[in-house]
Amino acid sequence: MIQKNLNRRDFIRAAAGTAAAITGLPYVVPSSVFGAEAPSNRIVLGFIGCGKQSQHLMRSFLGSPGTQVVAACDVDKLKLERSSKGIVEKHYADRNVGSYKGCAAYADFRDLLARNDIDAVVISTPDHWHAVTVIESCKAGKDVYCEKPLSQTIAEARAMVNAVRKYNRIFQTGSMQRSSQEFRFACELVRNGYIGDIQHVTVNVGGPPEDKVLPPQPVPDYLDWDMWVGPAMWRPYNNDLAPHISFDGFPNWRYYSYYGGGGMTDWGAHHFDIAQWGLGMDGTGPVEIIPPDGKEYKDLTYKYANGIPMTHGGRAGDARVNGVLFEGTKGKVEVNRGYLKTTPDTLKDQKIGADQIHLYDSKNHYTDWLDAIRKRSDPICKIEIGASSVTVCHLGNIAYKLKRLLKWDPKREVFIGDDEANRLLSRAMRSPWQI
Amino acid sequence: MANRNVSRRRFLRDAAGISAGIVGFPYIISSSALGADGASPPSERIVMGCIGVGGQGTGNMQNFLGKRKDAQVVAVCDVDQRNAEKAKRIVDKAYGNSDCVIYRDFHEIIARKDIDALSLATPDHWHSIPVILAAEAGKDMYGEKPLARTIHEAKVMRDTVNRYGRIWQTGSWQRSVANFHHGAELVRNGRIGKVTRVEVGLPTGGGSDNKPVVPVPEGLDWDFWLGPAPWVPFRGVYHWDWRWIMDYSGGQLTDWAGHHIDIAHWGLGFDDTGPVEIEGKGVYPKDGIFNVPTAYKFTCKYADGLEMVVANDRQVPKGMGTVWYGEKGWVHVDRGRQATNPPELWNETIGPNEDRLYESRDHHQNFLDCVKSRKKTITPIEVACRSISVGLLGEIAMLMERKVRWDPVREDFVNDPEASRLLSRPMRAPWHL
Repeated sequence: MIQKNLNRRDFIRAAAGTAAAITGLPYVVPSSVFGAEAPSNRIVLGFIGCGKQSQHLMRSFLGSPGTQVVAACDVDKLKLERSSKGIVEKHYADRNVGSYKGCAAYADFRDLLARNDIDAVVISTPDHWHAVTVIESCKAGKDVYCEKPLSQTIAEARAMVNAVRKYNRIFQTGSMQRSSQEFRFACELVRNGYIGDIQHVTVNVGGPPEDKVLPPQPVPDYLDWDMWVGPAMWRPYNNDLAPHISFDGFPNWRYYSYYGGGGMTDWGAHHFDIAQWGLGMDGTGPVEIIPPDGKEYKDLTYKYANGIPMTHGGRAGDARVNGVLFEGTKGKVEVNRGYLKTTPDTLKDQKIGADQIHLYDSKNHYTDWLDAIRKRSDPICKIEIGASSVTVCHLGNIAYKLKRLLKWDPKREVFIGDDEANRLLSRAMRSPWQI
Repeated sequence: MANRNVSRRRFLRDAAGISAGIVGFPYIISSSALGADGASPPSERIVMGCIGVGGQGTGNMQNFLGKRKDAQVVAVCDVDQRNAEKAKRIVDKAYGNSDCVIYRDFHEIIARKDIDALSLATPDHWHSIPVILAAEAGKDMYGEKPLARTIHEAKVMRDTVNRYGRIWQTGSWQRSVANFHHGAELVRNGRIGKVTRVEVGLPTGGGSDNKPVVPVPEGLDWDFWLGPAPWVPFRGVYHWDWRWIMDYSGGQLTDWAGHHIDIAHWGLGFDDTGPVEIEGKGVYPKDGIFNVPTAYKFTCKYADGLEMVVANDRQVPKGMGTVWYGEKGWVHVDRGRQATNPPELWNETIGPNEDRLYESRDHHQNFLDCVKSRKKTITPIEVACRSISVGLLGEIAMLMERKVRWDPVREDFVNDPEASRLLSRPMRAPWHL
């Protein structure tokens, strides 16, 4: 589908040229037709999911040069209208973009994907909808920005990687900490040996989801509950899962196992992602996962093939770790959003030399993706990275569930000698959805 | 497949005769093999295995153990080793030997060529898969009600059992009890005139509970117990409490649909049809891990205008049981009791030329008789499918909180893909229908 975009743009340019040449008269073209803001260079975006997180994403992409948002989709009519009219159309109206034709509102993401004028989609549905919407978007030839955690299961993550590669799409995972200076610098310190040999990594994020079942409530008339549930296990509607538009927090579906992976995947897709980056483990993962046993292993512990242990929770004495803590033979690095603490303290001001390891430098997670779309290259958090990071999170959840040591083959992506654990690599999808 | 059993028995007889004849010396055969102790010769006995030997499964097994003349239980299967061992002790004690074989995996019991028939009593979410595999393997089956957890499963089970020509008895044993039979015959023969309304009262129940995650007991294969249901950690919910969680059961409603709704259909002659409109309301636990309705009431409208109300006993005037209301009176039947209006109606007899219903007074014996005669049992699988469908349709209508329209011929909702999706549940790998 690279060809599609090139063709479309080439066609417009070529057509303009031809017309001018053939007719031989000074064909007046407004300057805005060429250059970065030219329609032919704009990336036309659609939004799938109009909840809390999408509002932030919409404002970011509306504010990025060279984009035009033309469509939005949600199963909640109120949230859909808030986004399509209240955010997108208002944005263009405020700027007097006279040529803007409006933001189409769709209840079904397949209608949005069917539009040929849309180049790329931004997906911020609940987790259980990620795999189907991403794969269908790839099949429709769209480039994709999809929120973290990448998937609801390990098998879904693999299917998503395969789809992105098969259809040659530019994919960014929404683990935006990778585009933050403090995280990149922390990982560069670790990668370049400034804390010596790594002895332990601690990641402080929330726990696994609950299997609790919520009591049924009447389905509000503005919500298509069947579509909200989609491929996941059907559960009766409860407003804790899909709150009314007036609720301005992140909704709690993520804490119920049917629709999310708890704090483990929600924040794990940020902090385990950084741990993987610092360790240089992108695209692979640990080989052993040991749930807490109350004795030797107070916290859930991952072990990588190189012997490095990584624990989930608050090691490092009594104080909770702030974000991610790398401990090495010569020092420590602790990093979180807007927070960097090093031992020795002077490490904080260390300059990474020109001949040392420099990690992918993205200053903005959103424009990084847009630039990658233009260049047809991989952005900072390409699908393989999103997949291996979310896999770490899911591995932890599975070990918490089964309460036994699991041996993991990160290459084949199977548990070794554990059928029950392997059954948890995927989930049955409710008809008619499948990947 | 009927022929298979016959030829196997004929083979045994012939082989015994031939070997005795040819070899010509006194071949020693145990007396029970030739019919001592009230048993018939092995060639005449139906060889049985029992899948799921908890409370209900063991009860059914003991029933078959009591039928020495016709059946011999040779194997038991349970994912809980303690259940299986307890059942084996009962079987071995009954036969005075130690021959009963224990299996954890039902595939192994189905694979035994010497087993003719199975008694099945697993939790509801485990009904369909073993039945379908057993039917394909040529087994006749006595299977517990409710027939299946979903309507889709019930349909596939029915179609498979009938395609393979298997004999099937549903554990809806009320049909083999005299007062239910008589009540249904009175209604069927117009003794209360045209029936306009039916009320079915089922137990109230379920409640709410919250249970902590606890270690899986020794001997229980929890992953296998869950089978096609979504994976959850073990909270001590098994052997009884599974009935209060939708992943495994629809609660008292679907448990008892196979009894009193089944009887209602019998009296109405609705064994091959179903309602066209269903609407109702359920009360669900506000908290905890149980999520089936504690109270429920729904109304089914049938094509002829008849209304059937199904509710927990506190929401129907006559409580538990089935009540048919007609233009000339009513008939109420329940376990151990019955009432009619006018009262003398109950004493009427049904003449030989009237519409007589299938008569059985021993539900387990009826199954064994049919295995031999290859005739339909009193509760064949197509009847069970229609009976449980009413309960499951009520469950769906209550969950959707709106009226749903059902096509009893196509056995699907009318232009309602959202409701139709609730006709099945995704199955956890590697399980599938």
